[in-house]
Amino acid sequence: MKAAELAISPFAATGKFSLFLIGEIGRIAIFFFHGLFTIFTYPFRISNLMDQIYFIGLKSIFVIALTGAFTGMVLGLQGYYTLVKFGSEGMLGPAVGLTLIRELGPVLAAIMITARAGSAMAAELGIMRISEQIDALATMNINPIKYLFSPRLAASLISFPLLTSIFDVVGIFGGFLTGSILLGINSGIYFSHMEAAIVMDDITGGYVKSIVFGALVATICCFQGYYTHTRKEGFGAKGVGKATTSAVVFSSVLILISDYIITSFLL
Amino acid sequence: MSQNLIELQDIVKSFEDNSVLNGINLSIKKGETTSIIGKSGGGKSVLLKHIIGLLQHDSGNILFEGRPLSKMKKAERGELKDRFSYMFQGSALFDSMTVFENIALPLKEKRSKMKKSRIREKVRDQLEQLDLGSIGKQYPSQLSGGMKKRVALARALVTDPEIVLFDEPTTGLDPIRKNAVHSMISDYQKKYGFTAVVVSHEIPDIFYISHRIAMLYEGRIIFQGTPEEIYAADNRDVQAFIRGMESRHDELTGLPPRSQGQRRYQEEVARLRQEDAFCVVMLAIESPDQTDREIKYWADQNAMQNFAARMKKHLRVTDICSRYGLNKIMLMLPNTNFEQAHNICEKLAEDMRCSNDGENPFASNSPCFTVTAGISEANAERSLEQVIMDAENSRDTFYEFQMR
Repeated sequence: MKAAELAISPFAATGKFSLFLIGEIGRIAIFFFHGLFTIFTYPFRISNLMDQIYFIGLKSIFVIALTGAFTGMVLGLQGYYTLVKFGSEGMLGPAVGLTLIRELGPVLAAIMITARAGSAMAAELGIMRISEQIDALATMNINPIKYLFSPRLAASLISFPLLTSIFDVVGIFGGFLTGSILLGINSGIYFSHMEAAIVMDDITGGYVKSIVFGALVATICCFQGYYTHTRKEGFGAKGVGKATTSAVVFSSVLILISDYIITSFLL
Repeated sequence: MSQNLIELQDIVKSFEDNSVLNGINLSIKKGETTSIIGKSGGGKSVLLKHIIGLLQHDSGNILFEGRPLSKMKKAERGELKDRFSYMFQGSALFDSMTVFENIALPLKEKRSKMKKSRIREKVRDQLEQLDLGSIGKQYPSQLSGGMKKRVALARALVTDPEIVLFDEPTTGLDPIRKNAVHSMISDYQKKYGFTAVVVSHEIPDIFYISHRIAMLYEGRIIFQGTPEEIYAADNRDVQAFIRGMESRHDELTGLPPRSQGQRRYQEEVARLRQEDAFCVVMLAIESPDQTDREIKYWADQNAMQNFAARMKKHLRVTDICSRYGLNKIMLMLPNTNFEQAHNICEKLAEDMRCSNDGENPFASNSPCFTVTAGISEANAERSLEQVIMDAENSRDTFYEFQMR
């Protein structure tokens, strides 16, 4: 009996984990669609949306610009020393531009916003949950998902592409700073080659990514906070801490995984 | 007379392996205050959350005005929810909003749209009524526990609900505030006529304001009835619980509780010889309707406390007193006839006036309180209820005083 149990246990564990995973994905999907649809239902809380755009979007600009600048600068530096070996340092512009617009812009911006706003969403909703504020909304006949999640989702869908654009532009000028001003590539060559190499599809692709990341980050972070109380391994303040951690970790990992999947479809 | 507004039938709920409610049957009557008492962690709050739909039961039925909730359409349930209000144990105030915004939120989000100016007016009224006028712009984290409770109460009452559910409204408050919250609930309940369901373990304080009591024990309601009936109930668990919870002395006044007064009355009556009589005096502290409600509740309870403390000094060894209601004290004077009892009351009032002059703790512009006294003679044939009714009908003002 014991031996049989022992033999089965890895399978049982795998099965249990798979069921949990499928269940969790299902719950997240329901949460996401509930939030998405209620964006368009009455009443529209414009001021809540504005608050969230201010918090997720406007307040992130500085961090995004800073990381964008240094990403662009290091790309310019690395790119120059690699390209100069082949005598094609003129291609630095397209290299920096394409890397930023197609890959690094959306991904790094999303990870930065996760760290800044995503963690805050998870912690805020988590605390609202454990202090019964979410229940209080429900008793007032206010749909808590619509009241709390929908504005955050909508604000993310609006802010992520815009922040990504800022990241891209600042990054391109960062590359220009190192490549052209410090290392002496002709600025005309830097920009004209970039202009010639980048097509509209690259830019749309970048936006598609950033919109998907926006939905992903908002959904996972809000989900983790909103359902803090259902976690088995931690309640109260500890639960909120764990929810915040897993919100950031899951969001970041899923950003990279979904980036690969979207890229493979777009190419 | 009053119909069943909410009826719970065989409600069962368990969390994983832990069964909390094992078949709850409870009826809540319209316009009454029903209190649910029971051990901590016994599922009282869980029960309350089922009534408002925060938790879903595993099996059983909840009927609202005779109609099962499960058969109602979503829109109907939404409309129903608008008639409810819930006051959470931990207040559950939105900590990122000011007190004003907290109270305004349920009005702002109500389906029937209200004008902004009307909302502002209503919230301001509510703040004023609960003595919160000056803190509208503060955040909940800046408030004391008692203030938070009052804000939560304001938020629960601002929508003029028909049914208000209170989850331990007085936990963690000092005796004066506790009694103030109780009298507030009772006052508002009388004023607006809403149906109140209170989860509490404040025994016997909660009996003063309840029309009906239900006791939850091991996941079932083992008793339902009036406060008088619960003392007479012959269920051992009920008796053990209320005797265990009831302290020997009332927290606020230091007087013995009502049940003890009733017991002592029985003893005195038994000891009584044919020709003797003894008197029962009912004292009630009343604050005349004040336009300035600001400090009413708090001051009421404070007055009660001070009065009881002073009164105790003037009692004879054989005299028995107990707190009989929110603002009532029963005084039993053995071997005393009506005349003598009257004299004792006069003397009491006189002494209090003197002691007031001596200490002079009362400012001239503070609200005025009236103490009324009613005297009735007791004898072996009459039950305590009759005697008290008599005494209350003959009440007369004998003492007036002012308080800061």
